Amino acid sequence: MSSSASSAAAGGPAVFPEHHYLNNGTTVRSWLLTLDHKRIALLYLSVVMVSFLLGGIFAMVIRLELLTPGPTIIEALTYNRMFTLHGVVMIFLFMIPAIPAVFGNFFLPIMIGAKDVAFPRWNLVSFYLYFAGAVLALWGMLNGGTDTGWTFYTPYSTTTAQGVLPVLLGVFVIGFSSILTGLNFIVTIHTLRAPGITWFKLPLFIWALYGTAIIQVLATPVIGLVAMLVAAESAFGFGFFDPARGGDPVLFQHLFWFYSHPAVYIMVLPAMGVISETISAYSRKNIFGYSMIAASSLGIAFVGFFAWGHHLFTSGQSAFDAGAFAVISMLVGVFTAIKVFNWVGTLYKGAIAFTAPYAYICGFLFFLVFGGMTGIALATVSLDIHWQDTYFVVAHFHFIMVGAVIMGFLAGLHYWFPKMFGRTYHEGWALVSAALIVLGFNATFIPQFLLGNAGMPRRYYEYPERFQALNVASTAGSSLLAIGFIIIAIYLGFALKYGPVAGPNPWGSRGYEWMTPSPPPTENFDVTPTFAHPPHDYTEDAVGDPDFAHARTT
Amino acid sequence: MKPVAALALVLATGAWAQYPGDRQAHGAARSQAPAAVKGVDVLERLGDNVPEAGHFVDSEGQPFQLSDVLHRGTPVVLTLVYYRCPALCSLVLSGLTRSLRNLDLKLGQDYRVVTVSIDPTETSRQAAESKRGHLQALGVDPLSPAWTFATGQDEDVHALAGALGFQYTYDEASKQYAHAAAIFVLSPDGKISRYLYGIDFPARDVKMALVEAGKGKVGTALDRVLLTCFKYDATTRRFEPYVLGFVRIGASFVFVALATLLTVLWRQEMKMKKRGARA
Repeated sequence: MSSSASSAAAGGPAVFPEHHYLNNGTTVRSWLLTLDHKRIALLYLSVVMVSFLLGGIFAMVIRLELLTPGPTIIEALTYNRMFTLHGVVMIFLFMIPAIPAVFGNFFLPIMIGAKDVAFPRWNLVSFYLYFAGAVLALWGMLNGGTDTGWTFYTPYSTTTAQGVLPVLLGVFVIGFSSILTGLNFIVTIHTLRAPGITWFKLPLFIWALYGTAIIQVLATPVIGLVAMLVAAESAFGFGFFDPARGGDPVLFQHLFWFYSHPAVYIMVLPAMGVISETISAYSRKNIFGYSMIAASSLGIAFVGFFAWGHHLFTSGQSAFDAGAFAVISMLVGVFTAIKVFNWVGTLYKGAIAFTAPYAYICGFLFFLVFGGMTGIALATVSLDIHWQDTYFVVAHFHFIMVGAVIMGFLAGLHYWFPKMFGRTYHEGWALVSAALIVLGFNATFIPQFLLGNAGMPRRYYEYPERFQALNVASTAGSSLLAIGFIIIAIYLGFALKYGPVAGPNPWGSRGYEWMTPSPPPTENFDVTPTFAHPPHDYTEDAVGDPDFAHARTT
Repeated sequence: MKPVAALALVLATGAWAQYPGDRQAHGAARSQAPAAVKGVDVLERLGDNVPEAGHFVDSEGQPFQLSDVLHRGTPVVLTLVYYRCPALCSLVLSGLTRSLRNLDLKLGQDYRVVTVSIDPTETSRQAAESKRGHLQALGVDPLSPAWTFATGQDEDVHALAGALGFQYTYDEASKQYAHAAAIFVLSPDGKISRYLYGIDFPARDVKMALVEAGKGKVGTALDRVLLTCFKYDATTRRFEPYVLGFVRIGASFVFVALATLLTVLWRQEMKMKKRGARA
């Protein structure tokens, strides 16, 4: 259907534009030192994809190891290193930069009618900081055999012989990249909006990026500081967290989660933004409750700062603190529910096109609601005591965080692929892989909910016989996931070169980014665009576009 | 310095031969208060009120009560020693003197000091002698009323020491007192605010303790900011950098910086909107 859509949109066979950002300079130098936000986005995309591949391989090694109750393919110590590698790579190198740094960089300026971000040079610096931090962290973990888990809990992290210093330094450096990107986005959204784009005509993806940027700037310094404190303690013997030297190990947990809980929203909010964009485009209907979706992004950003204590229910926190953090954590559910109802309201009576991105939207809604509900359950102190440090928690955060982010990332990747590269992919294979991924994800993590509830602790190398059936199911599910991703890599790789030419707006979307050729020229727009309609406005049929019968709201 | 304190205590009490095992215990425990000598200990009673009514006599032979120096808005450093003490008390007092000399707070104006003898047989003449020595070393008028050297009856001294949790014993064999090396910082209203241990009190610790006890009336605003970054650490018994304090200051800085940026950007937008509306 994509090929027919692409030709229909242009009212004839679509032509690949002669000049665009991809062929404006073809030397290696023109890519590595580019100041074009679209090229920087592709630099990010390549590193993020490599990180995702690595993190995925580590995940598969873990799942294969857990196929049998005893030792299967790796040693116990290697297993500890594997889950550390998996966690650090997936969180710091993939999920945090994935959507904001790739799609944010690419589309933020286009969506507000600007030529670039406010500080293009800082944008490039930010990429290289991320790259340097990523290399440093990976090298540190592979070389030093870091086995603390991605949370670096003291006192183990400050006393373990396996070096944590390079990893912490890497996280520190990546933090600066995150802060710079956040500041750049905030200033860009404020100062570079084209005439006619008021705050309430901003695409919802931009609102999500704005909320994310604020969290990034406020919270990231804390993880940098924690990393430095742990490094100082393990290198110079300061007593920050070691009780024998007057320190407090729980202090580490407070500081760590003060960043790492908002970090969940750094990952999930942009994914929510992508869903707001795509759900409107594929249901061909005005977004329901624009201002509520925008406001709840800021609400989540705000409340997310005061929920960190729910990671410390069993760490000797007072009953009052635990109760307060539990209630605040549940408030996040309220804001999220506002979004979910608005999205479902958007679908209602829409002219839904069941495309691959739409399949990911469905997956997103399921994972978000299911993961969110188990989150409410985990925020209940008495229940959490039972589930603390079990696979239930592992399954929960994979559902809410990984499920939502990957669904958002894949929905965005498929939705925007034609815009970024000017070609469309094979819709049939895309649907097959989407089905495999959504099913595989469920098959991987639903057994882990059951395992956790039955009492299997996380991070254990061996487990009793009775847990084996569910572990096999989980490993089988993760294999489905892997196959799904491999299929995506193949057909997207193929589409890059041989895919049908997309034309400017293959989806008939009303998003501002579709008003320019695909792929866009370096200046983003050939002619200065006018923004007559709000984004996500499908009230009228597109002129000369009979293929797209828009659902009407009246 | 910790072993020195322990050694000094043992020498002062002449109890070396009686408690040979204690030396090792002091070395092993990283505590500055050599607490293992029988009947000698400091049980911290932070937040308790000291009895103000006990009758003492100052170095001039005049009657003296703690209420004379309390409730005047200044914190009070209180030390319990005895004047003929051959070692530890002199070390404590001269340590305190050294520290006060390096302090940028003014004796009498920002804080007062009271030294009380735990030996009921001592006289105000002995008190006067000790006072002259230490005040001269401090470089202030040797007759200054801001640092009181007092003596008193056994029951009054015991009541005061008991309220402070300061336990000491008299050793018949050596005719000396066995006691710990500690000083006390009282808030202006007579509450026990801080214990400082040892014979060497870093000026910073004494100042922090005074600023803390002074409840916002002692020291500059900067001192009070510093107090959020340095908290008394019960393990090392010193004022140490307080991580959460630094984090709070850092976090407020980041917050203010971001708030400023957003304010500037939003104001700019409001102005442009207004200009747009006029045009």
